[in-house]
Amino acid sequence: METLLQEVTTEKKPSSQKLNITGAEAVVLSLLAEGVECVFGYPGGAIMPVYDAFYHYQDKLKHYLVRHEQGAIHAAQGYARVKGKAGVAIATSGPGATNLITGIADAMIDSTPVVCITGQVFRHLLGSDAFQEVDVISVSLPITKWNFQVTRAEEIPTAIAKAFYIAQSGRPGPVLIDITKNAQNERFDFEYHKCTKIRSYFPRRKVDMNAVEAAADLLNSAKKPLMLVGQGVILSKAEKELKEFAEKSGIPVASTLLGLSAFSTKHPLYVGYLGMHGNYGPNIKTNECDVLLAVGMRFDDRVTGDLKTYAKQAKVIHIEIDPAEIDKNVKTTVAIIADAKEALIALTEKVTPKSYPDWLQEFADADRIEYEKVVSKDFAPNTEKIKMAEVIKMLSDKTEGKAIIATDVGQHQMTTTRYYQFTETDSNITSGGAGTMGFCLPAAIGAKVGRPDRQVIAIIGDGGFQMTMQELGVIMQYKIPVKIIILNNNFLGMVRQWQQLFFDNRYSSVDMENPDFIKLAEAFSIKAQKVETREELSSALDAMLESPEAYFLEICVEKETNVFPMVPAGAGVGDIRLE
Amino acid sequence: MENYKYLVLSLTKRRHVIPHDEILICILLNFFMVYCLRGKNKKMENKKFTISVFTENTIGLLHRVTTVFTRRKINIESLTVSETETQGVSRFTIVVNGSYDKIAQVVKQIEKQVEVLKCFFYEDEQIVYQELALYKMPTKVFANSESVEDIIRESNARVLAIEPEFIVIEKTGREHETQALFKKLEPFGILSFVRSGRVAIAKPMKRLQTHLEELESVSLFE
Ligand SMILES: Cc1ncc(C[n+]2csc(CCOP(=O)(O)OP(=O)(O)O)c2C)c(N)n1
Repeated sequence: METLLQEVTTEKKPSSQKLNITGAEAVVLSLLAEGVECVFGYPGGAIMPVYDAFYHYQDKLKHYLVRHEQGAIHAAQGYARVKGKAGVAIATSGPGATNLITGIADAMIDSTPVVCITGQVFRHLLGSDAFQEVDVISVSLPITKWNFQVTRAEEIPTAIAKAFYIAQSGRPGPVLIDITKNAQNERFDFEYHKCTKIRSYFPRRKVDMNAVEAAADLLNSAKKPLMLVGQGVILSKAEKELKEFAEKSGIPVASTLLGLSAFSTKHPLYVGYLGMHGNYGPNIKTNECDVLLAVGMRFDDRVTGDLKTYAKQAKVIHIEIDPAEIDKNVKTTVAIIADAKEALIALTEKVTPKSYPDWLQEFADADRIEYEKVVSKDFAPNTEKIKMAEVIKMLSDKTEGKAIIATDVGQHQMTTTRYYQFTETDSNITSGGAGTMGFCLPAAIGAKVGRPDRQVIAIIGDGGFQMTMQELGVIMQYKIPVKIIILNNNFLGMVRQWQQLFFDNRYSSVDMENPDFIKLAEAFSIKAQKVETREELSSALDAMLESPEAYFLEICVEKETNVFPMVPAGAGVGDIRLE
Repeated sequence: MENYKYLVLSLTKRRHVIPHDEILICILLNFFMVYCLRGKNKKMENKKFTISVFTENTIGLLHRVTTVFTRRKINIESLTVSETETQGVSRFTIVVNGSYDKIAQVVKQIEKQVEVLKCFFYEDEQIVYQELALYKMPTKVFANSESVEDIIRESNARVLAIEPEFIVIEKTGREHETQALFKKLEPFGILSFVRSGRVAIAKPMKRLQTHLEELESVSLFE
């Protein structure tokens, strides 16, 4: 208690207060004080007092009962990604808490703000191997931005206030509050003060104008500058500032996987998507540019390939909120440690208006090569079955790039992110850093709950779908109109692709005997349709898009197509393969 | 680096037999190599570093700090935790081996932990440091010879406890000093030996509070 309070600065005026209430009620009132409207969770012994409090507050706080705690955390992630604020996941102790772990790791590596609340055994039983006791603080420690075990009711408001502040400030991330059962039952006088500062925590730096000047100098004299934008732009809500900066500076913009949708893919300065299955142009031009400006991204190895041959010729400017990312993978010439939005505003003022027609032409030339060698083949209706790319292209056109697209992990994910032409921000919900199969369906549910006004489409492989397909129950129970597309190739496609390319065609445990997906969806009272021919595709997509309810499309696609271009694991971006 | 020192030494030793212009070339070569090796070696070669971590005194933080090392497979040579002059603030003193670049990165990752106030790292020249060793020996070694007593005196060690069966000798000093005493006492039969982790105080005069105030002045909190 001492330390929890000592180091925290809070708002003077309590945003909520109530005398003599239980810790459990305090949990709910704390969530309400943080503006939480809904939570995703699953009950059990150690969290039952909180569930009892939910019962009393059901008109103010909506609880979505998922079918597995992994569903709760991924739904909270999907919600957080579209809302730009923390999602909340609740679970009981022991297996309930450990079922959250995959999603917590996913949120950690993808910087997603989530607050997890887990029940824990009574304080006096801690450490005694009590029923459903797992030391979830230790288990979640390396994959949370912060975690804390509450063992007394009075600690609850401060712990939750800190949790929300830490999850949402600076570089966002998951936090976990573990609450012993006695703390949920104890009574105390509740007062909630929002956290505004923690002594040991410096989430955000002011923009250092010297660094901005140095960056502007480099950019102003650059001949072939290239900008790489990551999710940091979305997290700092800097899409408008990015566009203004790009248009004034004239610098071509490439995006990371998680940066997609921050900058319209239809903008003339947009040159494509980076990384292992990204576009040809931005990958090879990374090794030809003279100044590389990275904004809110962390030079993940799926983006850089072999670091020894990555952008060695370029001066690197890195705008990044997290000081630990600077020089971690790529040495910078100038680092601007700041929020992307503030840094971009400052930099926009200092850059001179320029344009790079010849340099942009080089990207256009690369695009033409990629089109000939890859894209035209992907789109050509020359195979017996539909190709994934055809589906995504048609979907992109029909929705004008305006839908929220959630993807799982694998070939369908890379195909979607390659061909869906995002035009609106907060639209790309995918598991990037962790590559968590099973992410998509629950994340799409969370996204739809967060943005009921937008079309939310989940695009999933037949493999990944079967990892969390139980969450169809949530769609059924709460009538959440998520649109679901299963791109069924009867394979763990991406693994099969690697086995074909790098293991001499030895297909080891990648073919799947699948259930009847249509019957399965129908069992959950979800309208479903199977698409097997090209002729059916367009009308099926229309029916799905127009449906006011959830809709399930199983699209049978070519079994053995490969995703290209591809930077083979361990190779340099310059060694990108087109076939 | 060692090889290089030898090279310089041999060049200077042989100087009188080498014609003038060759000496000049050698000297220039020297400077050039000093320049090259400095830049490279300083950042890449493995060295001993002492890391000081100032943290809130919270349960679990030790674990958070050590996982940063375990993730990168860095072996912690010693670790001590103690209170500082500021109430509620703990200091971890961690000794590790690693390259400058690697340790610099680790330090940033430690500092990133929410409850870490500040983290510094030093080479040995930048700190004043000390360790403590205890040696448990049979009491009879005193009766049988005078040399143990002499060794204790010469080594600036002291007798901490005398029991009927054993004595405990204490020696503060650097690792090589406590180790040297170990070597000297060994023939007389050491029953048990323990050495503490390093404690260190940095030479620079800037105080933690000043560092924090500086950080605060360049930070935003909402
Ligand atoms: C939880 C998890 N397990 C394993 C993997 C490894 N993996 C990556 S892609 C993939 C295949 C995915 O197959 P499917 O869901 O059918 O999608 P496709 O590649 O065919 O589009 C696998 C097994 C993973 N990313 N996540």
